[in-house]
Amino acid sequence: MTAQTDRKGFFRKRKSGARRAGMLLLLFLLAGCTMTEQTLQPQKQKVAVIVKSTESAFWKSVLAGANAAASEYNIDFSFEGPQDEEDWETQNQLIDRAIEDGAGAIVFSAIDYEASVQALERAAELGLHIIIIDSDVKSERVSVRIGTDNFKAGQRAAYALLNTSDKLKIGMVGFDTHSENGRKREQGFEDIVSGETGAEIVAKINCVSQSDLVKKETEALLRAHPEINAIVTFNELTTLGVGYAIEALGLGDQIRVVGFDNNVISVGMLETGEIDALIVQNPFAMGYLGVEAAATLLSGKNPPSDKVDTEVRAISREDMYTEQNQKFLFSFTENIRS
Amino acid sequence: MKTKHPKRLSLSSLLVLLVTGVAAVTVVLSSTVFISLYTAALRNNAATGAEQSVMQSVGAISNYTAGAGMLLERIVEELESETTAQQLRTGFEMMVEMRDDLAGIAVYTMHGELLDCWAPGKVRKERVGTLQMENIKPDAAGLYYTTPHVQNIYPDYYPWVVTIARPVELDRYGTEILVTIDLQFSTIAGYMDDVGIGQHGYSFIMDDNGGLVYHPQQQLIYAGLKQENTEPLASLEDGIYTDADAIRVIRSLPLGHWRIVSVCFLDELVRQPQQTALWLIFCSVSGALCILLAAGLLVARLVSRPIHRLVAQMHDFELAAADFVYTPVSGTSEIGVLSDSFEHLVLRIQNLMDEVKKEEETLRKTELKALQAQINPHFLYNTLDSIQWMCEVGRTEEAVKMVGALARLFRISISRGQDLIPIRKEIEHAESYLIIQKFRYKNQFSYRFEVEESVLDCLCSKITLQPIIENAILHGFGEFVDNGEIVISAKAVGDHIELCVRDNGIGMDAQKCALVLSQDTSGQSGIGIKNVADRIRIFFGAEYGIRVESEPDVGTSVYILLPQIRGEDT
Repeated sequence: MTAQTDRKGFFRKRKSGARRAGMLLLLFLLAGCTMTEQTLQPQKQKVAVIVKSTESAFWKSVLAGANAAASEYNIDFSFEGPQDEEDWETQNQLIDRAIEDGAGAIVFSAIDYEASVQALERAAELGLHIIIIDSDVKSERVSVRIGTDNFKAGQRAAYALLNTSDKLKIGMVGFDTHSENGRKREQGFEDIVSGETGAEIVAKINCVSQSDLVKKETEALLRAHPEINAIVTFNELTTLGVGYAIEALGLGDQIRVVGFDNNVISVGMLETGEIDALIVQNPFAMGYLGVEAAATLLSGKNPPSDKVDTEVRAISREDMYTEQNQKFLFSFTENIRS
Repeated sequence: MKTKHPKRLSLSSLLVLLVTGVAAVTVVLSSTVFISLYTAALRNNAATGAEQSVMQSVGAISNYTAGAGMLLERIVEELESETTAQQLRTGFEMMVEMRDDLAGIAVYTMHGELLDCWAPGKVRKERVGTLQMENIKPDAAGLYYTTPHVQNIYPDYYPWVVTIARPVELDRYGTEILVTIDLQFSTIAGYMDDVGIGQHGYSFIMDDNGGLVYHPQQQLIYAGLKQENTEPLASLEDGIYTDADAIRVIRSLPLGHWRIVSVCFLDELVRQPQQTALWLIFCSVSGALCILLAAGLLVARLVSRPIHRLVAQMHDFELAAADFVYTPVSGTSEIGVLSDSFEHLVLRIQNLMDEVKKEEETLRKTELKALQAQINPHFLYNTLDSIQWMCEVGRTEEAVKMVGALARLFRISISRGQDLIPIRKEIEHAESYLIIQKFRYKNQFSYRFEVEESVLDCLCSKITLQPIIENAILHGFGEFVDNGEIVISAKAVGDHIELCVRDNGIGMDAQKCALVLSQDTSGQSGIGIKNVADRIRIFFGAEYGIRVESEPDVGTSVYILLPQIRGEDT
């Protein structure tokens, strides 16, 4: 009896051996297939970069940074923004268009802290990754936030303005009150100044971010408050407008001005005295890191951090040509690819 | 009783293991060798490629800096000449206009203070920067190359430039001054940006101290997003340097203390192709091994399956040998041989079994026959009749003789169940029979015995002579019994014993001789000659038996060959 069962068992073993070999073969064929998939070129991913405007030097730097990251990570990207830095409705339309165009991620700088939340969250629902640069929105669906610590930047502006022995009567020229970074910078500034006995905020205006309008309103402010001997302003275009106003009124030596961001003209004014210090951000880094984060998310990996503070420097006339400040203040690529 | 075999490897497993094992070892060894050779080749290629890309850049940039040097020469010549300031201005502004990468021509004091400057459509600012000449050594041609900096001469114009300065004593200025050109990076970028090995490889220019002059990702470096660690490189001589991640080739330019570094990444140039190769080898090897495995299994099947079928048949045979019908097992030639041998074995065993069966039958038949013969009614009551008659007619002596013969006949026939009896007894048996038959046939034949003493103690099978004698009487004499004589002899012949029953009857032809030995007299009274012969064969072996010689009308002799076996031997 034993011999008989051995015989049956033996035959069974033979069959299962063949089956096992067959399965192994199949496994290797499958593995081979997946490997060939890897070696094939991946399709380019689409990223929509939607910013507050596309005209100023700040946003052009963001574009340069985005471009550098896009070519490094093989990303197809679009760069769009409304005509003026108050038009959040156009921004929302651009968000919708990005969804329709099949973008995998949106890199966004918000004009309005709250007005774009719905459009962005709808995009997030549909599976798009949301990355915020520069200006934040009030939403939990944001994957990564990249930008200046605006509160600290406001504080730096205060320190720069207070870097004098004079007693200061300050006029604040802010921009869109709905903008998150504008608000934060003002708060930061006020936070430091309120603790100073030698400085006082005399007046505060908020302007639309168009340099000619700002110029007019600054001139009006100075006429209304002739005691103002210091002005702080918080973005590129308001800085230009204030600069133009000071220039027009010839008050460069009398009024201490601290502004934000760098372009050729404001740097020139820094040299000639209309502006005394600039709080310079790193928009190139914002654009680069934004698109890089989008690429990382699109490839299925997690970015190293969900909040990145880009560098901010206070640069004055005295130290604008140091080696480090030169690198920060003056774009390298702009001057090659003209 | 089944013998227990220790657990041993089956043939197919052994075959498969052996084949796959050898193949695997061979393949692993050769793959290792191949991969290491391949990797070495890849590294060499990478290093060679990097070196080539550096040499390309060195060539291009050397030309460039030589050209810059020449330009400076021309400018100095112009300044040394008698041309007016206006002519100088026109000339220099045109120079700057014509060259994309020239951002301006300027003259400084030896301390870096701006004396004169020329650029089309631009007028210098009031406050300009001083030219930073600290820590800058002149190159082989006596020229000074600054590190990259922002030109700070003209309003709203801030290009990144490298300033090349030539100290010269000019009459125009009365003292030693620096004649400079500010070169932008557009042309240099054109040479350097697309040079590199692999997708991620690139080249850059650094100076003697490790400061960056031009890097394809300069903006990223200035924005703090990337780092190029040039400090360790600055102290290295020109050459090829390999570390864990990359190969770096450094070459110095003949002019300006500039050095070109080409970086290529081992990951994409060596590691990835290596991994791809490894993966391909692994896949194809595994595939090949699988096929080998399958082939091995197949071959093993070819060998071991038939063997197992054979084993199964042997098992069936064991269980039911007599009825077993063998199905031939096919396979390789060795299997065929085994199969045929087994078939022969089976047939042989079955034949032997049949033979034994038949022999047993014969023996049983003899018993039966003997018993039958012993109670053969005809013979018995004929003899009793004769005895009765003898008693009635008063021939008591003869009657006594007959009764005695009859008794002896039956006693020896039974022989207490023994199959082998001494020849002495067999002769007695024959004699008893003859006594009875002689009387029955009314003394019409005679008989005599010629027996050697020496053979009397040897054994022979019982009831050997009697059936032959019976035959001789019935067929040899038949009706013509007159003058018939039967001679029974027993003698030793060499190692054997020869018994003989010779009669002078009618004899037989050859055909009948053969018939006598083959005919089985079942159903008839008495035991036939065949039976006698069979029993002799059974007890003593095939070389012993009965031989019939006969000549028609002369007589018949029946020879019985026996071995010499004494009574104690059994």
